[in-house]
Amino acid sequence: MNLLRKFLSLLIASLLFSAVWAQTQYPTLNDRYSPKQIDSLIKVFEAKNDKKGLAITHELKGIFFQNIYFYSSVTFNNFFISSQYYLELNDREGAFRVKKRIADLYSVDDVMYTIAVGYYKEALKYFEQKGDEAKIAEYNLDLLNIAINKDSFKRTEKRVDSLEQSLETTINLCKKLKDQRYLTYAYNLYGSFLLQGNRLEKAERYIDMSLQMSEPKTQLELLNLYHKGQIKKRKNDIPEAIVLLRRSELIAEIRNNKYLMQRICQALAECYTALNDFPKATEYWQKTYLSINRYYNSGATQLARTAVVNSDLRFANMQQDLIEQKKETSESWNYVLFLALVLLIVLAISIRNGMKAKMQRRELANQRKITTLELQSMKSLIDGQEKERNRVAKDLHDGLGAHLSSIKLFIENQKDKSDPLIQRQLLEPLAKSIDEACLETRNISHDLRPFSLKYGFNTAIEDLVKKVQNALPGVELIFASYGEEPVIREEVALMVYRIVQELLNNAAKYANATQITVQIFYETQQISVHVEDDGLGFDLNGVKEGNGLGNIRSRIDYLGGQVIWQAAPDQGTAVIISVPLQNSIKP
Amino acid sequence: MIKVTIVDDHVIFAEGLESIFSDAHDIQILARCHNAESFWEVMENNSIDVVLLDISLPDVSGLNLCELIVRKHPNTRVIALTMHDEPSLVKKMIKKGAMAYLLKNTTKAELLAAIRTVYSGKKYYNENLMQLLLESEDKPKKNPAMGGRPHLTRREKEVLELIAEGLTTQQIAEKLFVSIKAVEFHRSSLLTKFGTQNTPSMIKEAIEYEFIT
Repeated sequence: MNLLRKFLSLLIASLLFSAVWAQTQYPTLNDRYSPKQIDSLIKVFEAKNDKKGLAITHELKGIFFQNIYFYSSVTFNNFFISSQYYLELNDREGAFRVKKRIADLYSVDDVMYTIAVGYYKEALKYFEQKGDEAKIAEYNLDLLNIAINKDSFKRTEKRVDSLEQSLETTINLCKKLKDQRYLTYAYNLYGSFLLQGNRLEKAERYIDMSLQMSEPKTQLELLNLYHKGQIKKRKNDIPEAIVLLRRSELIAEIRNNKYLMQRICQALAECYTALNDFPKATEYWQKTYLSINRYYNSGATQLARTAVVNSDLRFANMQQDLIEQKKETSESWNYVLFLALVLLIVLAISIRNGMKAKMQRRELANQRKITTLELQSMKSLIDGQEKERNRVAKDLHDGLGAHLSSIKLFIENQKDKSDPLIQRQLLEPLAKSIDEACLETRNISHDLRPFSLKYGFNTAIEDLVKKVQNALPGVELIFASYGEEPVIREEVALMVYRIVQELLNNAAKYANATQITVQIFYETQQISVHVEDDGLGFDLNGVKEGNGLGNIRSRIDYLGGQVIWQAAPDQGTAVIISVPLQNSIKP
Repeated sequence: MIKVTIVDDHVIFAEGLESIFSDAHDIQILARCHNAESFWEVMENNSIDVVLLDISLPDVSGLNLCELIVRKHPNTRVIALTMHDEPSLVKKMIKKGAMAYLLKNTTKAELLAAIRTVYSGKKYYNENLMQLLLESEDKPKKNPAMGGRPHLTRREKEVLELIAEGLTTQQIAEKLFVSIKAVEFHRSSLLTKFGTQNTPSMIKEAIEYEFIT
């Protein structure tokens, strides 16, 4: 018996071994492996230093973790490593494919999507040169998706025109390619773009076309039903809107799409409110809260920004208050005094309950804010970004920089030996432009990786201020620091450095200032940095949190600090950031 | 004959550098070293007059290496030759005993001049470097304990004036259309700048320095 078991296990082991051995002839991306299998494959390839194998297996591992956790540092790390190997193999399309995976993840996020745009554009450029139309269509659709769904607040008339133009071009390209899926997607994007511009008739035409083409129960059908529901709602055809939205609700339920679920419930609640069907409306507002909660608690979207939660909750609260007001005015008139009295009592109770619920919700939102998971994924995003920057900076500085200086040396060496004409007309201008290239390389690399951060936060900021001063001779830059500088953790120092960099950039670019002051106060409990200019300033109420500001906010949130903006037209801008020290000092 | 050693981990650059000196008859390149370890090997068996030293080295930091060379061999002069132009780094390198600081895209003439000047025992500062060092000299750290008129920003001045008028934080915030928190930050930085613990003595200081009339 024992012998038989031993024999069997040996047999299985050898079978497994040979299976692994046979597959070392490169797995394909369609294969499904367990993480253990992937790890053992990675080891095999590492032992052989087989870069192609490593590129594929790391990509597979990234995909595996993406399917389970969506955002996670493991996903990003593996994708980054994989793209690195593809680049080393000179397989640019492989590298672009992996980078697209990263970009697709970034594009969901309200802060990181700008990086996604960069990735998409880089790939698009490559495929345009190559003339690969399918890829061109695909990347254009990705870019349009972001332009329509993420950048909508940046709309200007000019941008709307160019957006519409590129939508039309892309649709034509999809038609030419006869790719049903792309075309369906393109029609949907166009429809949703038209819907945003309130061009309802045309929007409905495109959404209808897309709806007819989309396969049942897919993401696209879901989107189309939702959009069509929105169109009907805007056209005041509320009953039809409700039918469509309810259909999309069913699909969202099946597909477990919490993000859209929340939008759908919100739209339904608004519809029912319009019909004065308050019980139903309340039911859907509650469902909206619930799906907001579920959306933000789900593993898939741990990192979705708290800012979004807060604004959505605020909006939902506002809507509920509105319903309550409406209830009060529309119904109390129509009932006899007695009923009104009863209603008032009921109302008082419901308002009390509502307030209680509101407080609970607020508490929940605060709790979510500090969920460690969210912080972790934020950290992995920022880490990944910094790692990448660091790598590029090093390549620039040590690679390109060294080559440029070698060329310069060569020219210097030739100078004395050549005749004066060549010297004056060729070598001297050449040397000058190489000097400029060297300077540029240094500046870019310094922007990407502040080298002097090694020697302390204060030193790095001082260098930064000098650098900006050199670039802006007409502006007076003042730097001062007060108090004793503690040894700040590198990660924290780098984040605060990035914030100051962003603030200085903004002041330098937009403020049109004559004086910019940067002050650092090292105190026992906190570090605060004040950046103040005497430039144009701006209307704080009129500004939506664009990218720069959003970036600053999310970093400060991560550090548990605070940021205070003071600005008014023609009054200059002053920004104070402060970061608590307890977690920021090196032990 | 000036005996020179190059310490730089970029082989191509180091080779190019050596070829620059082929027609300078008073300069002899003893060796090209690609890390600190091989440099010390050369140093053991030779007397070196001038070291052309890069700051980013694979094994140790050029800063530390510079310090060690100067301490152990006071007659050997160090010239920093690097891609880094961060002002703080330049100052640090000079402090560690480097006699000159050149960027890698320097000219042949400057390189030769630097080597000859340094060899004669003098420091070689080019124009950029001079300006940088001067700049940091004439701006001593503003230490409130040392006294001296502090520099105030416009917003700090506004807050200071309103504090002197006897307004509360709340009133100041309303008057300036900013948050209470912002006023508190400004108040605390004013206290720091005047080096005082409380408002009355701060106002006294402010009057002395004529911020308030």
